[in-house]
Amino acid sequence: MSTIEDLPERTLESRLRFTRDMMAGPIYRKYEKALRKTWDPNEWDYSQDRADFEKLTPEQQKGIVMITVRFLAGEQEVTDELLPMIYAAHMLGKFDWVMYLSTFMVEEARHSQFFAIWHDKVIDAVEPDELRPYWMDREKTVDPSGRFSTGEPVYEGLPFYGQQLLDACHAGDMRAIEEGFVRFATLYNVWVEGVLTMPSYEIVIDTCDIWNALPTLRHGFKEIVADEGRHITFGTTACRELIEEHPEYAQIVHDTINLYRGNAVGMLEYQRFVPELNLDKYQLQKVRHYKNRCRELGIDVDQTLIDDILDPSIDFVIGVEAG
Amino acid sequence: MSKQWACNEHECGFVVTAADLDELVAKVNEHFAEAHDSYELEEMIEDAAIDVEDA
Repeated sequence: MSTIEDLPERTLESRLRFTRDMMAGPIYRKYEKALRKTWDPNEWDYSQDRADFEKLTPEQQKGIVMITVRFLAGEQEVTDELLPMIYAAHMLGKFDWVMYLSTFMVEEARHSQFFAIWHDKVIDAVEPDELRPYWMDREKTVDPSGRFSTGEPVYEGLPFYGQQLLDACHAGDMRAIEEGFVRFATLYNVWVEGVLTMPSYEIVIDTCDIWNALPTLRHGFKEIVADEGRHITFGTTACRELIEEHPEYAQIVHDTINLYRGNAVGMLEYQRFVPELNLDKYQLQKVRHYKNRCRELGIDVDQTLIDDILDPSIDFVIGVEAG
Repeated sequence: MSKQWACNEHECGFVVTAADLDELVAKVNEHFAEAHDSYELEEMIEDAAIDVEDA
């Protein structure tokens, strides 16, 4: 068994990580930008949102909170599940990735903080029992054709593939770390943040505009979605770098997306709760965001996925009531 | 060199060319507001922008 005295002397290159190329690179620039774009939800006023919320109908209240509560939970989950990416960036010797991911984790924590404050100050609910009436069980959403199912990429996929990535890091298996990073970043940055959630931000912002209400919720979503733009393009930039070295990793992207294909092809239950919204617009957006992610990754699109998203005959049924 | 970006919205393909990234972001979002009642994020425009010869 080796001891600390057996370790080889560290080279200067392993201690001084900065290079001019790194500092001029796209991921380091995202780190710098994240520092410039910081915001503090404690500085915002939530009183107008509370007054507006009290004037909404019970159906409107339920409709909007059914969406925001998913964000409150999701932001907490991703804050808590980001560690494997940082560990993998360290193992791959990508110091600019580590630096950027330090801002990424703070931002996910800040998003969690914003949603906790908003729910606490506006609807007097922040703990599980208080929010249970608004929670819909997505796994029970049904595709009548039987072709697709909806799953929980955030609550099942990220912990599962994050653990695989941690195991690869512990083992020091560089190939498995690269593959695991591409799989995890595809699920997290490309699919969840970059395709599935993008229309949901717009649904909330559009709803606030239609109702002319909840200005701080709207402002928070605008700030969050700007942060998400950096998160998503970090994931696509990092994966593109690995795919350029190993083109076979592109198949990992397609395979990972296919695990949760059903989440994109049908309308999800909460998207129907504000009847004034044009739902076709958000379905079309999924195609745009998917094509954008493939463009950033430098990979071909899967046309069958686009056809499924646009197929009007595929529609899902709400399988369960909240609570 | 100018900056160019192409819209990926379904059946669109609109191309925007601008002198620099700031102008490109503004013009792309004008297009999104008018054509798609939507917006595109700055980071995504910057990452998809390509350099083209000045006209």
